[in-house]
Amino acid sequence: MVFSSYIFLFYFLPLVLGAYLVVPRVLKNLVLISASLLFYAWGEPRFVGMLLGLCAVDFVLSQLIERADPRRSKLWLTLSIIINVCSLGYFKYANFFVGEASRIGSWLGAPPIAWQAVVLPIGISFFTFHKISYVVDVYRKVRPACQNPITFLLYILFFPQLIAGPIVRYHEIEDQLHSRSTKLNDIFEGMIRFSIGLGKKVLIADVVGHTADKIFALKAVSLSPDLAWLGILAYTAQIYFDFSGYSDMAIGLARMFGFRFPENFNHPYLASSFTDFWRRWHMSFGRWMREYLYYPLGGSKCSVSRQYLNLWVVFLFSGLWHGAQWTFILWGVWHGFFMTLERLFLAKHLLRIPHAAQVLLTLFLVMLSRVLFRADDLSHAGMYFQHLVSNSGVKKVLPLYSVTSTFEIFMIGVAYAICLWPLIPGAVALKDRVLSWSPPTIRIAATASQAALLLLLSAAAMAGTDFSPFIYFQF
Amino acid sequence: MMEATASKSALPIKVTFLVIVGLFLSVPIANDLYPVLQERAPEGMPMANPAPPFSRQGFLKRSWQKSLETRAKRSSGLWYPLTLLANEIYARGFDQISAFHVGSIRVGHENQLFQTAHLAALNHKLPKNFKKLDQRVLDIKELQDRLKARGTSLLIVATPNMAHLYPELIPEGYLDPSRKKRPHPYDLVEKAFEENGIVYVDTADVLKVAQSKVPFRFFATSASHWNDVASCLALQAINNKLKEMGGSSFRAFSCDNYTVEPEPRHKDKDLLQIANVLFPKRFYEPTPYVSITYQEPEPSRQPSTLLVGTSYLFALSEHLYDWNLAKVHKLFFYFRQWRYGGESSFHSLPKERANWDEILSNEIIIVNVGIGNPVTIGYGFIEAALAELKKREGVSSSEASAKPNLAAKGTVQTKTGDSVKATVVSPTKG
Repeated sequence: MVFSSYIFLFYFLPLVLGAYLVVPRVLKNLVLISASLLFYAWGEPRFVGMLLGLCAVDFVLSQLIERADPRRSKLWLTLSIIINVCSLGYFKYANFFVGEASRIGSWLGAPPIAWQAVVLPIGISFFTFHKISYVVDVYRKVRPACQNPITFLLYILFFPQLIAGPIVRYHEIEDQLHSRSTKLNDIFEGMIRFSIGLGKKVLIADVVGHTADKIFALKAVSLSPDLAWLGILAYTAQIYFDFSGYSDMAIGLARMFGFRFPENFNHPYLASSFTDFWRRWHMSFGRWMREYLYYPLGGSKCSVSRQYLNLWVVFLFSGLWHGAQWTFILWGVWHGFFMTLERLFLAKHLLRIPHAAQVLLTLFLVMLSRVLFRADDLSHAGMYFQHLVSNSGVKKVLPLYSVTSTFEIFMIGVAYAICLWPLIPGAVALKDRVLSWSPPTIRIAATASQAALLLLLSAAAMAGTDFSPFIYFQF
Repeated sequence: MMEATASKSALPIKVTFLVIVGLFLSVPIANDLYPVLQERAPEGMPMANPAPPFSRQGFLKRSWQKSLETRAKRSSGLWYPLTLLANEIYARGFDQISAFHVGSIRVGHENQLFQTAHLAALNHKLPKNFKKLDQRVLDIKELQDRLKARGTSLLIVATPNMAHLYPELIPEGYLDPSRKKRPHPYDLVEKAFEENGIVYVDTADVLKVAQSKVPFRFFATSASHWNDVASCLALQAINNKLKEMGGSSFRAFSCDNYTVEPEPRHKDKDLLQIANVLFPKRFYEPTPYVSITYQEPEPSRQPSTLLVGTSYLFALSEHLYDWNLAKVHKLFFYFRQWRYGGESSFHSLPKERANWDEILSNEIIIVNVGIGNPVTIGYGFIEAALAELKKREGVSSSEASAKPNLAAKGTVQTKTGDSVKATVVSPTKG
């Protein structure tokens, strides 16, 4: 089930929220778990059993990790990580590795490997990371293991974050999992946040994504440089508004049920460097990579060469996490490369140019990396890069209407205006001054009106469009 | 302290917001329990199917969920009004009818609605079946000659769409100037007609000449087809050509008398209807309707006529019927469905074979060629008719008369409730 569907917005959400508010406190977690299972089963009915089974394994292993002596505890932790990584590896990477092995085999004259393609369960990357962070934290004694299987299940299965994050660490919401209260203000704030997220997804991401989809589907003969640039502009906007919209909706929904989730985005397209970008983009993923991969590898408390190696490992892994394709691996390489350059010398030079130029340069490089993120395969990415700078081979120029529309172009403009307006000199100060002048009640009324309008417009937009899955469900 | 006061004073705002949003979000559930909002589909869209029964297999395959999702959206009571709201915003703000151009309708300059189907030809793009042109033209020529020998006039009529007559109303983003040097597909078709001696009428030329004489365009802003005056002028041109051909023709008439009505009638709002906008009236414009003036006395008999082709023929068909110009006439819509006389409803053709006796007994057969898609002529009728004629010429007259007539006879209820004896005809595959 997707948040931006009628079934979720007009049936699932009112019914679940209503049930949650009326049941006694002891039943609230059960209501949320039941709703979460229905939410997952709606889209992936075949994998519910597997999901519950993997949760049960990690619950038991976390108990063993906590109770065993340090040596055995490490063994149980290793076992848990192996199970999680293997399940992720099988479902997400088996097709890729078998495909590559088959290709290498064919070069050597071997027959192709007979292989039934594995179906990827939605959200496996996210709930696997949740479970790994949990068992590692139990091992590290950050917090004691959860003794209540219902509470543990809710931590993993809670529908707002189950399939696309944010990646919440157990200790961040442990208290809320056990006991929380939902006040009117929580529902108000949650609904405001949800409406903003829904607007981002439906009114911007889906609209600009339509242009991106059309342009990225063009063949070389029709991909003129202007269309190619329009395509990456559109896709760069789409991926941010899609994913941050989803995160807003998740955070808002969690708030309605009394949870406070960590933020996942902080104006990433205002980043002044790649290092800064990764502090602002998919922050919960960045934190996870830092805590559970970069630091265990030695982080920055080791030799300089080892630090760079760690960095590259993290970014290669990041690329691979997003998908089992060479394009994602190259995307990781791209980011690792610029992070390395920044650490070596680039950061110092960047500081010498105006802030706005730093931001635009970073955004430009991030935008180029989106080609790798979006392309179907390496040859497609290569062709696309070539057409960003060259018109050669373009024989069939398409009228603009065939790939976009006035509304889509307008929304691309709106998307970048939303992302980049703080770069306008004095804009932030003006906003602060306006906010300080206006009484809090006016601000709240204005926010509520905007949210109500966004909700209405989003529902109207959803009425006339087809099903549109979230990009991040595939990861 | 200040924050606490602010929070207290904001409470009514928050409660109001939550009540409004809560009511809005609960509309579909409330409507399921106590249907108040009418379950209505936007024009041109199918109604919601009934909720599918739950099945384990359907659930595992997700087909049950998908059906339920579609049902939930379409039966919510919000689908129709929210679609209208969305389309109104897109139309007003962005000259388009849906966010992603899901539909095929666009808003051009001066509020003129148009269809994307006509853009390919406007951009001089050859249709995929263009290579069939040569054979098609030969077939038309052969059929025209064979029918002429039987006393039937087969006339090909080129019918223009709005974009062809008024390209200036199409926004620049839809045009591809780089293709302008290439020939328009219709020009190639017309050239082939000329070279092969095919008798045809280009009504676009007629309308272009007539444009300077009337104070309105020949397409209402809200219509997909030509208006009453344009179709009248086209029929007049057809009649003139029929007279030139020397066979049967209609009683001469004039299109000079017309009344301009402040709002378009139903037939001149068809495109607007399926555009599903909230405030359609802003697309309305005064639209002319012809009052027929006959220029010849009523003949002792009117010619029997068959029309074959696209919806541009509807207006011609209605004129023939309303103005009593043809004795009997039928319209084979895409040679798949048929309409009788002035009736607006369609009848799917049954599986029986065409009643070629009746078809070939017509004195006039008019086949249109859409200038937007000029190679698709007759939708199989030309080939089927030619095959039938060849077959008949190869069969002896005694055998032919012994053949059973497979046509299905039926009675058609007209709009006014009158019953008209009609022959329901289906095509053979051309």
